[in-house]
Amino acid sequence: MNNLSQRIISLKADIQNSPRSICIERARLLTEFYRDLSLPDDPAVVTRAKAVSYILERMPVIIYPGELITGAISSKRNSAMLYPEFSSLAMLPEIRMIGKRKTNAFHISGKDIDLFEKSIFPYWVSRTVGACAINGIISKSFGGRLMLGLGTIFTRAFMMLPGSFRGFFFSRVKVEPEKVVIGMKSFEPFRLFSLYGVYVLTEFAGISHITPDYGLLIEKGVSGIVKEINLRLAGEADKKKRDFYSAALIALSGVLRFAERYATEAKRLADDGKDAERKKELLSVAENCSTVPLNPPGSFQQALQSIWLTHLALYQENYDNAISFGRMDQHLYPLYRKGIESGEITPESAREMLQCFWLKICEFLPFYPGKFNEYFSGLLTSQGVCVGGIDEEGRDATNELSHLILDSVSDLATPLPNLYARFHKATPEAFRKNVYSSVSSGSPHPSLYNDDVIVPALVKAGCSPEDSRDYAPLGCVEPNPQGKTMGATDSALVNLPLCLELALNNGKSLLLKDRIGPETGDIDDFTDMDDVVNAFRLQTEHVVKMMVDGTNLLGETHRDYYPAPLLSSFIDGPGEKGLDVTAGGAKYNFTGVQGVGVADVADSLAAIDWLVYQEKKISLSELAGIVRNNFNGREDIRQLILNKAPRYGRDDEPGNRYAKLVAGIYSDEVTKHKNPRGGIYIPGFYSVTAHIAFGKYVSGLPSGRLSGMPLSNGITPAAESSDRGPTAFLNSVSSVDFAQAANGVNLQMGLDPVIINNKQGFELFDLLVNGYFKKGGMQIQFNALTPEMLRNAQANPGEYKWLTVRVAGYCAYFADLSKEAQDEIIARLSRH
Amino acid sequence: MNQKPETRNQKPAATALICDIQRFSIHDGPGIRTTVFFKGCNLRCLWCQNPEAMKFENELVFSEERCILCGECQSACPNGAIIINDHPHINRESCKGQFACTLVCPSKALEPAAKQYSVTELVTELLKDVDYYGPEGGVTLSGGEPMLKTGFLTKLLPVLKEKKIHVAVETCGYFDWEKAEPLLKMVNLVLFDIKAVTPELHQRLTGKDNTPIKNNLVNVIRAGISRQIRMPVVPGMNDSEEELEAVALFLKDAGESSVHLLPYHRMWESKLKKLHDTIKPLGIASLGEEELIKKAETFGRKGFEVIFQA
Repeated sequence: MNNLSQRIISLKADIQNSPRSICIERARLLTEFYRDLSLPDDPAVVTRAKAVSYILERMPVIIYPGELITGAISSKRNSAMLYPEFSSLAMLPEIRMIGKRKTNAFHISGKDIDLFEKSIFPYWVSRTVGACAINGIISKSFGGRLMLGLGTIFTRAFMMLPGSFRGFFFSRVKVEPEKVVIGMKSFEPFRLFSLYGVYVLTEFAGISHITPDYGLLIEKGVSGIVKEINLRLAGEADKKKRDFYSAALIALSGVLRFAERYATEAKRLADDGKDAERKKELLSVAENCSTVPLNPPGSFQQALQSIWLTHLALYQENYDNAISFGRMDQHLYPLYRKGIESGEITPESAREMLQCFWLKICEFLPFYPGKFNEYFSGLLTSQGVCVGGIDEEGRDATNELSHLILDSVSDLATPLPNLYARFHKATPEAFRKNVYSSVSSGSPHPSLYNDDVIVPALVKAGCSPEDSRDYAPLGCVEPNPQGKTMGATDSALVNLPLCLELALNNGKSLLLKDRIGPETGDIDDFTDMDDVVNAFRLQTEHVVKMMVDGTNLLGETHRDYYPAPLLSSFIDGPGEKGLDVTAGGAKYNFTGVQGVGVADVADSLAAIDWLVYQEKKISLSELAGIVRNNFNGREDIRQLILNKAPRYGRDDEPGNRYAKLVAGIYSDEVTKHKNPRGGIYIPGFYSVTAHIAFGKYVSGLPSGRLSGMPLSNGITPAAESSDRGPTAFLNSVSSVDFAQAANGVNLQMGLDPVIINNKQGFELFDLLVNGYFKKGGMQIQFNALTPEMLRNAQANPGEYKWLTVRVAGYCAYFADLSKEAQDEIIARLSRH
Repeated sequence: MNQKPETRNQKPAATALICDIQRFSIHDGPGIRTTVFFKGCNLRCLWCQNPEAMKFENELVFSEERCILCGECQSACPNGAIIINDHPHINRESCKGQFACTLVCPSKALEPAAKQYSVTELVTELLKDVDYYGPEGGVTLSGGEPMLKTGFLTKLLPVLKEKKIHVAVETCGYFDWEKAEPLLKMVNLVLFDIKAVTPELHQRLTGKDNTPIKNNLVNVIRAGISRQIRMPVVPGMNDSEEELEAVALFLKDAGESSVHLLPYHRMWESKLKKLHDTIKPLGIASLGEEELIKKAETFGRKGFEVIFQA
């Protein structure tokens, strides 16, 4: 807790010690509006705007003691909002048990459970994005809504049962969503959504994953944006465009009323208050909230307040994940300089304001229903802040604020904000040193991004050089030109090792016990590596195609039913085009989909090549038999593969070549496809914790990985192939061609105590990072903790409640992670 | 007694036996380095940290903890030297060093101590990390005793020089100066170890007379070759006050004013049971930092700059 003021220490403690709970307010207001007040003749975009405005005008206004930046996202601290129109209904089976979950327990009152079961669930069950999408398929297939009607009647009947009986039902019947959906798999229309374990589609839960143009907000204020839209509306004849502009204005007016309510509340608290010091602070909060976000902010603190209120409002429309802040050291710099020069602020007071702001980001949690926790472990909202890098002209843009933000995040030691540091050839040594001292102190922040690789990758994906240079990572690791891109960066995850399993079994999955892919040939007929690789390519092509069909359907559903007029107001493009971001309004439109398990497939192909075709020790059919049997009784073959076959991570030529090939195959398949917004699909290689969840659906692999075990994390080599030291490890990774991976990658690396304790610690770190980036590395992130410490934390969670670690592209409290995710972090630290 | 040390590979040699190529070495010279451990040394230091690199001939390394008792080696051995039942047993007397077992062992429990590398193969390995070496780092030639491989180095060093790679040599000093001199002049840094100056003590600790070592050290200094003199401090062996003073005096006379003290570690003892050798563990504890500081003072009092790092 060095460098933290008393105010920050107590705000942090207040947040961390608040019990975790579910806040039903948003869901209640949303239901009220859609069910009782929406007009049937309004277009979806107008209804959406009115609903957001309705919520903003009524959600509770709470100013917590001591805070300088205000605005509460929900009725309680540490609570999770519900999005019944997206995926929150999935919590129905476990709603009576979530208070008792082993990890990530949430409190919910009996009254709220009742409201959820009797009012919220029945209204939304036939109106969620998923239901609307399936309805769309059924309409296409059968021309009717019969099925859905039956579903609704069944649900209504079920809901009429007494609550305690329903609770009993769910406590006795273990509901596993994947079994339910797999049960429907033979019914073709559902197949797209039922391939759990093959891929995961996330747009069920919403899209978000975007960096709004907070620079524009600071420059013009909401009033400037409103003025522009009014001008466009006045000159527009097209009904659809007029609807969109009107919707944007309605939503923006909600934001302004939301701010006014805060100004009033701050004034009231100031009038009632006794402490003179706090009274002064509250009056300035009141002043800030009546000035911004309406007007351009006049001070550093007002800029933060403006961004925060807008940010909160966006979450009433878009689900609570990965709306990121972009390049805060650039947005805030002019007002920071102005404040310092006029003496209004000092670096110390600015640091405290920043930390007040960061703590607001920590104040709310996402709620993931049971199964999703496996894919996205650690209660992540992945809201990020970017520092450093080049400006639009290519000059170094690192400034004092980059340092101040870095220090303020590092000292705070919370998982949020997810801090990204951009590096390029001319990043000043002082900044590199500061980054090193942060990660070597045990902080998981920041993760490092290579401008020299990312900017060309974005240009290749179709962005202008200037906009590409102004990218900011968002969410876990996804680089998008900030404020201009609807990147849908986290739309799906694809299980690549499963595609290899399909290739080796003529389209069948062993654990899902089903034909998933096309018949790509009996392996007895394969004569060389080309046959193996080709079958993998065909299976990947098929799985990617299904994933794309599903994702596009969800994208169209968002566009048709739940557009985002408020978010559209803070993105470059929708104003000019008169189109919502969900309909292709943004200047750049991508759909980012992640390939998981590159290392597992690469190691498997390298092992097959070596064992079957180079050394000719056994035939492909024999090897496949051994692998299907999970190496039972053939540990010798498994050891041979683990120890002597080429592997990605050991910097041998075949291992590196196959990793590049696998990433390339997935990238080629993905980039063939277009999304409904007129953009292309782009690949990423980061896995959140889906590599653990996907692993449960993949049988033994020729790489030596056993059935059901976790896959490799992001683009990171498998743990057992990281034994040639950090340079070999980094060389292997940089041999992958990242020019296509415009949606970002994550490389997880344990920062060896040997480096940290070395007197040339910084120099060694600098040489490793520079070497890796020079060779074409895209991203890297570190954990500098010892395995002993984490084992201790695992055994004594109470003592390490607030230990923050880097999981994948994001950070989390170690205690919030699933056991498997904890184990993986420990295993990785034990290797280097 | 003052005979010339024998040198292997005197003619330009195509290959050399190399025990290990260790990347990301950060204790064998400045920066990030790749260290090459050549096989073979003339000294037999009682505490040798790399006992697998002592003999000039290749030998079998057996890591029992890796053995999965698959029995492949038993069938592969042409001399019937391996018997596997509950435990693996290797009859070292019958082993003729043909390494058939290492080819079939799946788990790397059986491995040759070293592999032959051509200059080209070695250079390929050394260039892999060139982007990480930076201005200070590079390649360290170690062993065993690298300066006995003059034939191989004659071909290797010009290639590394041409690639502008910083080259350091770790040497015990026991080599033929005439053959080594042109090579040492091509390297950027010599890390020269001195174990003891008292001849009898040196003979007892290393099995060799130290006259050539002392001469070579003086030669290196006179030739103006960039160097760092290092002394392993082995408790109860070479760390008496008198011996340390004698070393300090000798170095001072030779014109040296800096010494790097290397604390003794006992990690090497775990390697012994993997080898077939008569070397015995010393059973001496590693040296603590405080004790090392005390030893350093002996040099400090004589005006030496003393470096020590674990």
